[in-house]
Amino acid sequence: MPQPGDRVKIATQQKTYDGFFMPSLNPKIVVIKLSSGYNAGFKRDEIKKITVLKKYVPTPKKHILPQSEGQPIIAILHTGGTIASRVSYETGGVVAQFTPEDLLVQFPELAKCATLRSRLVANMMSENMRFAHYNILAKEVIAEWKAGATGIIITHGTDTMHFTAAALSFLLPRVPVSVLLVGAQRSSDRGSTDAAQNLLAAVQFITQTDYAVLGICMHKTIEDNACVILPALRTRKVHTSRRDAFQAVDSSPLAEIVIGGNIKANKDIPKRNSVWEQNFRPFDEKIRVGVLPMHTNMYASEFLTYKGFDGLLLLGTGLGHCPIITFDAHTKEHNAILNSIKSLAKKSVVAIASQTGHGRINMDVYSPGRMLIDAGVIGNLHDMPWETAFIKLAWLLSHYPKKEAKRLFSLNLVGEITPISALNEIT
Amino acid sequence: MDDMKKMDKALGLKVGLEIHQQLDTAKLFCSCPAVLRDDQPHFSVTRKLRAVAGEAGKVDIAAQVEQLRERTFIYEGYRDTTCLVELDEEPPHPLNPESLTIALQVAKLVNATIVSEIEVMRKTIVNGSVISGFQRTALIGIDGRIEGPFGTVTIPTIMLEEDAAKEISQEDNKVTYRLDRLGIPLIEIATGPDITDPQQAMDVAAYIGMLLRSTEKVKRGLGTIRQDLNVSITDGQRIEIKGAQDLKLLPLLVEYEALRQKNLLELSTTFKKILIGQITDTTSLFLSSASKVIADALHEGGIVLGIRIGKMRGYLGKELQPGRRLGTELSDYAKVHSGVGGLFHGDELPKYGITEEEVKRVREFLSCAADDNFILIVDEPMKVKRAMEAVVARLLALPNRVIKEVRRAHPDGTTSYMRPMPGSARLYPETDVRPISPHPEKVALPELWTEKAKRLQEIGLGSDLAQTIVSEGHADLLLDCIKKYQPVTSSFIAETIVSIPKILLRKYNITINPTAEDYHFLFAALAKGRITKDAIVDLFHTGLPVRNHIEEFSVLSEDELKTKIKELLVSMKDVPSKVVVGKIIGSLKLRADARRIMEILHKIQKV
Repeated sequence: MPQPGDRVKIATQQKTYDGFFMPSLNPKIVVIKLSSGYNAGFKRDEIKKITVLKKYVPTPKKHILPQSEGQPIIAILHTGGTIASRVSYETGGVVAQFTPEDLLVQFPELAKCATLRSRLVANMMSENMRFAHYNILAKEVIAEWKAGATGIIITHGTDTMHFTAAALSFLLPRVPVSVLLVGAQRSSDRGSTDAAQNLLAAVQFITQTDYAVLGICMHKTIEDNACVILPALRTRKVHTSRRDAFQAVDSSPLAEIVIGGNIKANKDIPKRNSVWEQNFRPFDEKIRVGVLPMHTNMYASEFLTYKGFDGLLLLGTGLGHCPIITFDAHTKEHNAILNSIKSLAKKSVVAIASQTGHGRINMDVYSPGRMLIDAGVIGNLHDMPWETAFIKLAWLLSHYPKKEAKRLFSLNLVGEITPISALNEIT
Repeated sequence: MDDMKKMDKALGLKVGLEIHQQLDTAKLFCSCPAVLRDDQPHFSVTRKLRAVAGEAGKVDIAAQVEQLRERTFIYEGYRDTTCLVELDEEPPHPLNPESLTIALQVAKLVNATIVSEIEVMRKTIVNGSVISGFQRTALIGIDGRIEGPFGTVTIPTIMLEEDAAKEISQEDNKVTYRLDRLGIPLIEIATGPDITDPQQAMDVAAYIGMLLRSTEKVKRGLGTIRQDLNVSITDGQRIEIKGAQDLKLLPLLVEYEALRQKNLLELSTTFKKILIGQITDTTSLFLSSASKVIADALHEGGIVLGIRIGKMRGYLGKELQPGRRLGTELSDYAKVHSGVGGLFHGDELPKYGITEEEVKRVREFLSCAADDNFILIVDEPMKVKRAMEAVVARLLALPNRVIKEVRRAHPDGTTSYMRPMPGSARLYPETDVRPISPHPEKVALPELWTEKAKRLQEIGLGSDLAQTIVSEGHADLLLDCIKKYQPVTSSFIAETIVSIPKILLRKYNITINPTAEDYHFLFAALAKGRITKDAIVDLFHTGLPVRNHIEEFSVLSEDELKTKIKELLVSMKDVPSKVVVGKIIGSLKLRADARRIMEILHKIQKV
């Protein structure tokens, strides 16, 4: 059986075709890259014979650009995702690009201002992240810092990059060097990729400033001219596909980087530090926390799915509400919902965040809110994005008894809750 | 032409065609309408493109050239007809099914084998014309062939792909494109290099054009079909010529390209080795030059670089194509690779304000022997350097005979250098679109226009009229009307359909687009004698739809006619009687024929 990349000859009833064997998703179809470069599918049962003319031998990689000494060291930790993968012309498969050489081949500009050290920590689409990965990443960051990195870049699939940013904020408070999560909305194998600009901006920020922030570095707009460093605890992916999908939530970017130009940073962002008293307290990888969005026509059984979980984050409507009022014949279920919330809150921790995306929880305004507080739902008056609230709840439950976790949830620990609801852009 | 044919044979002329035809459907990978616009765009987005490293760090040559230009691309769009897909801000939607059906029809029309699974590919293009850096393209059919009076021509591939954005302007390193054209479905039909004489190229292109239009689903008008040529002669190279808008130009383009290759081959035998001097800064010779081009450039901080070219005196002025010398060719390389305005060469100077004295000094400064030539380029230092390097590279390649490249067609049949021939290693799977299993057996074939026209001739239409009716898409309407509206004759119906819009344009300078319904109302009324033939032009001039106005032109009954005439006579009491008759006929002729009017007038006057 030929392997992807093998030079083959296939013979159908009518004719023979030369080409390269390509992977096929459909077992009934054989895909061949013809000499024109086009891939075409042939029905397997119409092919009389496939002959391998030449086995595929990967072209040896060349070390192209020697890295110069004496430049700042930037550690790049790869976790997979769109940014460091591309489709192989020869085999048609997706190949990962992780070594410093691979990166320099793709982004030769990087070598001009920094010495790269790069490593594959995990290779995944980011929706597959688990708490265990957060712990591994945090340990890698500490190790890289110990090994003298001036800054650390984590390449990451974009879907849950903001969850990871929040998780690292609890695991690695007060980072002594910048730790920047960088992703791409367009893959690196296309001319229009945003990976290059996002990566270059992160390198520019690390090499041209002495700030030490934990943040997300992505496109400012859909144009290719500037990137922003977004706060780790207050950022969300707000669009499925746009380059500017990441936006600050009830806050503003920490810095703006014009590519090859100036860096504008907020006045009060912290500077690099040579000492770091880490207090690394990992996630308990067995902790189970669920998230349940409120909607109309709910059933108590939806809530009871989370029986046995350590925590549940309700995505309340508006200021922090759930359908718990029985006022007519159609809303009898709501009483059952209230009871299910009560019972969950007794055995585990039930917190609330708003599904509106922006704004502060306030369960004092309407009576259903007050009833939720009485039912044991915590989180009144916090203004965390729900993703941060979820991470925080899990992290608290990893380290504190329930009662203490409940108390700490609404208190600001690492910058996740702000006392002032400033007037910010809503995106 | 027969002599030409002989010459082409002797040269070993081989021509292949690549025909790109826009389809009249929605865009290929989104639901935006495929409309081309000239109005003010609603927004613009600035982007950069990168040359993407391919296998083992190799970057496509064409890609590299483009990246050297460090260009910024601006994309203009419209809120109502451009979406996130065309902005490269959203993955493509599934391939437009209607376009696929048309592509399958065309593949069947050229007797191709349709692939069992269609794989959409990404073709790397980094000149900015495709916002993503690649064009999406899919192979639909292979190994087709067409036959006609022109012989048998193979059709190795039929592709369905998206059109590129159109270039609006270019200044310095900024190129502006508009996204309206990006994503319009194109069918690409490539022929094998089977064409051996220039006229045949046109005949084959015309035949393929007819096949495409027979689907009735292709766009019409300037720029909606593009014919690229691949031309080579024995010992020459395959040269791709892009941008021929007019079919009639194809024979001349082929002829001139064969000539260019022949001339280059001759040069390569004359010059087995090119002797080139050092690139030298000659700015100091021109500090007080009267040449405006040079003075302006120096004023802006520019420099003049010069280079000696051994033994080539007289050769830079040698024509490769009518009006295009070797010097012009080198100048195009300089322009394309660095953006300079052009170059000066020894065979054209003194000229452009450069004096004989200056030429003499340049020759001395560059140590030119009597039969040596030289080239000067003036502009910003970086640009000049790059331009000179491009020129030197092209000169040094002269002994290598013809260089593979892409050239741009000019309306006079000549061509100019556009870019290096892209490497073939530049198609990657489009991982955002799932492969498609086509069902060609469910696709019905359209009737060919040639067959349709034959059918119309059989019912009595002249060959020209039949072809016009078919090419304007009125054949079905015509056949329908002929069947329904006897005794109106088929040729009258055909003439009317073809000529009415033309008459209105000529006579009143208005453009009308009558619908089938308009014609049905018209011919029905004519068949029943409810209106006169004389009224047709005025009826269409009064306004469309015809149904709203036809009453105004209905033929008058005896009584109505009498009343009208009486009214007119009263209103013309003071008009001399000689003139009255003519005036009455003039104002009523559309609603009754002159003979009837005269009869009634006589009756009234007798009373």
